[in-house]
Amino acid sequence: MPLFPRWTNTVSRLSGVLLLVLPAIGIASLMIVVRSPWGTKQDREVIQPIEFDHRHHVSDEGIDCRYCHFSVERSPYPGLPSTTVCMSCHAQVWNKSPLLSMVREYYFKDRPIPWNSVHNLPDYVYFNHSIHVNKGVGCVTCHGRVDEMAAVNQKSPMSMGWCVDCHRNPELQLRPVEFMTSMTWRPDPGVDRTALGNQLAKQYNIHTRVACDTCHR
Amino acid sequence: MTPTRFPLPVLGSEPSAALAEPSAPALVDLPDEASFAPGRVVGSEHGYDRTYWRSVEEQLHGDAALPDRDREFPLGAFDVPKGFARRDFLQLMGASVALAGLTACTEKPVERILAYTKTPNGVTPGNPLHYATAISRDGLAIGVLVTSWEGRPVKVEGNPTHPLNRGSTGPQDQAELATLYNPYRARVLKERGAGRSWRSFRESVRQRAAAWAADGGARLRFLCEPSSSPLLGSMRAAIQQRFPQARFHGWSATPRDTVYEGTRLAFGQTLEPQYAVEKADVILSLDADFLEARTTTLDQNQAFAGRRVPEARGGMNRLYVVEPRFSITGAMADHRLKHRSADMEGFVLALAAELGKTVAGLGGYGTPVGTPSAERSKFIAALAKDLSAKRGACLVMAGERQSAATHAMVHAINAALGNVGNTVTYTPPAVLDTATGRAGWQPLIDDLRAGKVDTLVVTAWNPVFTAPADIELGAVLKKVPNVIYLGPHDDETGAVVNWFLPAAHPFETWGDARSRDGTVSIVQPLIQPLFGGISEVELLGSFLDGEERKPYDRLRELHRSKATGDFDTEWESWLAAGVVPGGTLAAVVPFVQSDALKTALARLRTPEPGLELDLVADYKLIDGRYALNSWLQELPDPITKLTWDNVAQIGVGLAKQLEVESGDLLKLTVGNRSAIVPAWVQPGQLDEAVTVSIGYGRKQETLGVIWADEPTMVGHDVYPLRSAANPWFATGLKIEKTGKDYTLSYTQVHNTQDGRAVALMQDLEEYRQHPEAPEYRPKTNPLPSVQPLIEYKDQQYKWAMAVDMSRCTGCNACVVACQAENNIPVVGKTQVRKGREMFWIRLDRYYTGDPATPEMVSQPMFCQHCETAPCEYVCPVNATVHSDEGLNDMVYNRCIGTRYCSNNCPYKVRHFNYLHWAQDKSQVERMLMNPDVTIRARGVMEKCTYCVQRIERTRITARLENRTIGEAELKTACQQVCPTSALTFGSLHDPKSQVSLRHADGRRFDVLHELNTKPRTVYLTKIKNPNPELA
Amino acid sequence: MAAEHAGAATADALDGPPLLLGKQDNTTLTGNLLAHVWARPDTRGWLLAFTIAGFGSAMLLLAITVTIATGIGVWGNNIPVGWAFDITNFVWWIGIGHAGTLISAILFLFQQRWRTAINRFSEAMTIFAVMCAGLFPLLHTGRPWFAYFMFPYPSTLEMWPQFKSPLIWDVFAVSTYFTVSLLFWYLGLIPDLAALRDASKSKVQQKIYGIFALGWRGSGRHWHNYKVGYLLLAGLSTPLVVSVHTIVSFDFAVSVLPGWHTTIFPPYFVAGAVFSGFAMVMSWMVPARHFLGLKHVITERHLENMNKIILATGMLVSYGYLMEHFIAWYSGNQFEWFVFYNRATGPYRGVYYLMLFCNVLTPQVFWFKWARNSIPLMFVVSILVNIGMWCERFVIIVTSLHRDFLPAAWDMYYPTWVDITLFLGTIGFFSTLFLLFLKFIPAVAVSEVKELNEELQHPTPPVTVVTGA
Repeated sequence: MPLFPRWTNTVSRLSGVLLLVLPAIGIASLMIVVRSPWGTKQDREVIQPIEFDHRHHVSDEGIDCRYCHFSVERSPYPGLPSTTVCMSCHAQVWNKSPLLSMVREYYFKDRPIPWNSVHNLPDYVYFNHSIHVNKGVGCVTCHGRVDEMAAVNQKSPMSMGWCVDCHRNPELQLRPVEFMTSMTWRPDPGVDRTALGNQLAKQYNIHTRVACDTCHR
Repeated sequence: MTPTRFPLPVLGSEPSAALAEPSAPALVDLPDEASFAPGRVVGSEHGYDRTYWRSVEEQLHGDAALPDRDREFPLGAFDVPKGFARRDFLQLMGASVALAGLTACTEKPVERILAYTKTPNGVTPGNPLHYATAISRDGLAIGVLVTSWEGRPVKVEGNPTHPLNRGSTGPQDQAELATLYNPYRARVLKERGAGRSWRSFRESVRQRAAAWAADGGARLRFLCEPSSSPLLGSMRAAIQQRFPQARFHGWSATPRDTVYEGTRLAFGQTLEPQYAVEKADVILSLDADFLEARTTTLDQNQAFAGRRVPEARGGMNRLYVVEPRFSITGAMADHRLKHRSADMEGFVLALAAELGKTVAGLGGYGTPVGTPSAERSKFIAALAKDLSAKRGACLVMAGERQSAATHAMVHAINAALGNVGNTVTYTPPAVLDTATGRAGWQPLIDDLRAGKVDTLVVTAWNPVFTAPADIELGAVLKKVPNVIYLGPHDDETGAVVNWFLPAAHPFETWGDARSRDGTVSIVQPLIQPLFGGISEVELLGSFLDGEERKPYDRLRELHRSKATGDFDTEWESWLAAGVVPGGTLAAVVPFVQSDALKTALARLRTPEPGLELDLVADYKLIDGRYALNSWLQELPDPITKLTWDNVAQIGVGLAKQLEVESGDLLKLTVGNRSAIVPAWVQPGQLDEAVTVSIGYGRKQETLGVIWADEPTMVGHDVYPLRSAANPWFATGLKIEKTGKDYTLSYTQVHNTQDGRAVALMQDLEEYRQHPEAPEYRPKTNPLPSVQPLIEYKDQQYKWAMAVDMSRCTGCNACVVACQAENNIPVVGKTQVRKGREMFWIRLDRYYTGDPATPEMVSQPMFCQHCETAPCEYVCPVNATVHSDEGLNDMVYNRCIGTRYCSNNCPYKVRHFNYLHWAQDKSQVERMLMNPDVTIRARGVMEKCTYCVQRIERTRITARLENRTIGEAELKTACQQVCPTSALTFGSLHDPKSQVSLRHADGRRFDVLHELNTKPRTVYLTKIKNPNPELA
Repeated sequence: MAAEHAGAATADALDGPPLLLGKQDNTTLTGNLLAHVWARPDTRGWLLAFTIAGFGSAMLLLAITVTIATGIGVWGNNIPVGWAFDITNFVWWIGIGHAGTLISAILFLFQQRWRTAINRFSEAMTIFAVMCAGLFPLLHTGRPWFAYFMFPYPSTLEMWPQFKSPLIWDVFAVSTYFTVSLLFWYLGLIPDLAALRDASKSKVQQKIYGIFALGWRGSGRHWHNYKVGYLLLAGLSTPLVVSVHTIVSFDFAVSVLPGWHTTIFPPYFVAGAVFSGFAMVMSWMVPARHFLGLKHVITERHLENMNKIILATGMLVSYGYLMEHFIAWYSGNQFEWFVFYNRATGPYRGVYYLMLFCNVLTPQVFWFKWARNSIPLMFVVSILVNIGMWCERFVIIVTSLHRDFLPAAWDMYYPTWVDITLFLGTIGFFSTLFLLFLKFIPAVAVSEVKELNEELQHPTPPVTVVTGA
């Protein structure tokens, strides 16, 4: 009886093949994972300490984004509504609602409400909201249809490649600034998107930069 | 990204457990309250809508409320992060309270976003605010603008609208922040070591007040920090009114007494000399270190530098310096005479005599004492000639260390030369106490000894430590029944008093101050007292009758009269501008009372010859009050480049004679007092004198700090060598070698240029003859380079910098400014010794000529942003690349730390995070971080970025307004503070910009131009203006 | 003597001492060449050596852990000295690797018969040395967990490595070199593994060796493919011998630093590499040959030839030094000249003179035949050369860095315990691997020796020529 039965030939050949294929598969799958919504943390509902429903406030009540995110046009940070802002309405409406008990609690205890951040860029990335919204990049472009989200989740990959793509050719993402916060704006039918983009780019004198110091300091 | 913002540290009175039900998971993210004052009750202080806290004993669980001292380290601790760095050691952004850790391999935890309950007025999250306030030293103030992020002051800059310092600041003013956020500041109001509340303190005062009322406060004394505050002045007056017998005494370890005594001797009245350095063609400094960037000299720095360039209007000035030690001013001198302090009077008399030959009114001031050296005679002859040739346009100054007689003679000489009214004017002093030295406190000491005092209120900084040894203040104070001490730390003085009050930092209180020229500024708080500190105003307030009143109310009431129109509007504008109009002091024209002066001078005794000890205020710690300020401790001394230590500076000749080398521990003995100090062989130091700076050698237990593997003392204490009679110098010094060695950490090992053309220096004449020194200029026909040449024409800006070495004094202001702006870590003595200091600006200091009488050139060296940068092409991961506008970008998050870029950098201006310096910072220290700049992780390279964060912010502001960036609105941190405008930054595309002009200047040269790196930072040759007669 | 030389009677007179001692046939060769693999009784010495080496490896592991956990700060490196022991060790180990490929590939192509007995040996060394070397480029980075940035892969950052950087070239050069040498070595092993399989006593051993023998049966077809493959790999690795150290030298030559920025570096580094490589082979062969009883296959002839090569490469290296100094002076460049002046007079001059002594003087003894044949002497010399070559790398890296252009930036470098442990640790690790190799794999290419034996007895043109031509 031979030391190795016949079938071992197949095994050895197979293992030879695997030796080459496995690493390739491994690397490839990594590449896919980091690009997948799971890797980029997209479409992941973040549960907030207080159930705040954007659908209700944005679509039903038609409150403009800037009412709460007040500094989005002036500051790198869009601005988070202070509890006073919540209470400015909810002192009158739903002022007994158990849903809002925590809001009241934090308000009267003079404590900041610990919201969970949804769009979490790394700390070494310096994104500036004001320059984007003032140059015709709408909220919905990056944040998606917030008006349709129960709990807000991240719609865009927020990867460097994603940023850079737009910085390389921004035209298709531009819209008239007056529609900045509109969730539903579309160019009028028949309008050539590219032409419109180029025209807006000229109008807002847009020159995007891709040098590292644009975002990293 | 919306990082978690730091809320105004408004903390509830009840422990955080109150909200610890599941509904509030995030309270863990709030700053731990142990970082701030122990327990508090709410008491509202209006004027700034923040709440204001005071500790009460029922909430204060003894020391339990204090942070564990064995674990915490002072800001930027002495030693490296110990143990293994945690996995979250990547970027911790200043603003983020919860340090969100992220690496390639770990999942980033959910970040909390904390919103305000009520957004304070004017605050836009993400945009800093600038508040105008004032910082004073020796009672004299400068105006500053403090940048505040959501209530966290993170940067101090000069207030451009302030007439005295016009935007510039010195290193200490910058570093005040490190003091503010020092976690070791005292937190607890104590009576004999036991925690008490502010209320109970006021109560105790109220009880004693009855007794004082009886005898008019005859047994009540105040020992005060020098001050110019009108508010404090008014309160002292009020107290005097209530207790007519009470006395106020001034105390300073660096008194300016001789200045005032000098004017009293010369003019018969106490005056403040105001020097118009910009008008002087010839300047003589008798040990007057007027080029050190202090609150008293910043205007003189600017004025001097303005005349220091060949093209200056009125021509270049000429500076003579006579001093024992090698000072910043001495380093800038065209002619420097090494001279004992003790003989300075002799020198002035000799000068007067020499001048007397040609100038009227200088006769009969007595003959020069001692036998002058030939060198001195030659010096005086040439000097006198120069001075008398420039009557009315020359200036003689004497240093605060020098005797009143010297000062008086200087005034006489200035008067005789017709300088009064031109280069020097006199005003009444702005300070409240003109006697803060012996004249100020000797009567008090006598009363204390005689037991005539039962309550002494000490607001002066740590007198027990700074007192001359021979008055044994500690022992004296122990005998006083009731001593009240208001101090930032529970220090040496705190140990001997029975009431210790934690002092609030100037950035935490309302107040006011005046600068040397009398300008009044409002001191406004930028943050509520972090540790429940108490201000001097509040303390004095407790000695007044009636209800407690907020400093804010007192202040407004005091200044109400100044308003011409509606007070509230004007008040707001004063706060905004940082200056209250109408404060400037009117000049008086005094006349020399020569007879009185002559009789005074007649009493001068000839100083005995021999070795002299010169004590000097330290260039970093001054009198020791910054001992816990790690920014200043690690800052290299402008001359010696030493960090974390003071030394006995010994002349080259003396060192040879004694066979002493730097680092040998010496025993210095004067009379019966002695101190151990490490030796330092200092070129340019007089051989007959040894210079030591005061303020070091605080024992760590007195600082409340315990650091594991570091010496128990920082530097060496030389206050024991001080005598009440003459605090600054003493003859008859004896030096013994102890045979022991001491390790010193310094940042520059090699002190000469080794014949390399690195930092160029020329004489004015030489420069006039060949304004171009072609061999040092960049080649007209550019050499070929392997790197692609980028065409910057298409870009909007072409950033560049220029350093005028003729102006640079090496005062260190830029270094600290850069550190504050860019979150540069402090690495500690051990690591500095290993050559790992992180300062982005390295102030290179080269000596030329004979070591005994060297010339010095100071060259700020930082990233040159080369167009063909050697660092860029060697980085394997593209972590350092060129921006389209010519910046050499360093991308921390891409860097893997091969250090190849640094190896290939000919200027060696890159710095590597060998360890995780930012690790284990306390909550308080994190508040110091600038949220606009990434905090670097362990293992990444970093370097000067031309303050890219400022460029980007300004760019966005400009783009929003669809305009280009103006030169005035964009300044790098170093440029902004520079007291001599030696640094300029801007775009080369703007031909009229300062930087373009300097790039086109005849003196411009590129360091290491032969490497064809095409640096964007260029240097202007240092020009000196020597007197041909002394050549 | 005469009787012993019988086997080598036909050996070329010029070849000097014979390549094989005594009358050998396949059985005896197989017997005593494979003997040490399962010669259980006399393993006490081996165990002792292995324990020591194992301790060394453990220390290495400790040092690595400390470094990665705490940071490069535990080393002595600073600014300006960004590289020190780390890269010194890297270059040194890579250099040592060179002898292997040179012997097995180049000497093979030149049909140097004397290579046969020692190629297995030196190839093994190549692989182990490169493994040690490979540690350092990874370790010396501040954030090794991001080292993968150096590989060109399509990332979500849309960033690529900087292909201008020599460090990237290193990544490719070294990894290629390692892969090819490994294949080369393994291919040569196959027939011997088969022999071991057949000679194995126990079933388990049989299976294990069998698996690695890849079913070698020694059929004519096997031998033919084997020969072709071997020749191809030899051809493939020949350029690598030159390329790897050339590229390593670019790490320095490409920079602007005086003392690094030198065009002579590539040839001079390669020469140095071969120099140190042969020295290292010698340092191991002398004892191994003695303890494994291989005196009859690794004869004085082998040793002498190697000494000749050491002498030759030593001269090349010396010439390199000479030219460096001459050009530095001749260039008239103040910075250039200072570096060399500083090497000879500066604080690190001790290392510099040690380097000159070890690399320039000691090899000179090999001008004399008696020296080339004195076993103890050649052992000592080989050790010295190894030391000398390490010093050379230290001198090049540290003395050039610690005093470069701006005097104000100058500083000193002092190693810490971690630096030293890392270095000694790699030596321990190397020894561990090598001892394992000696224990479980024939240290001499049995099949090739048999072949050689055949040739020596009935000289016919070797197969290689036929296929090669």
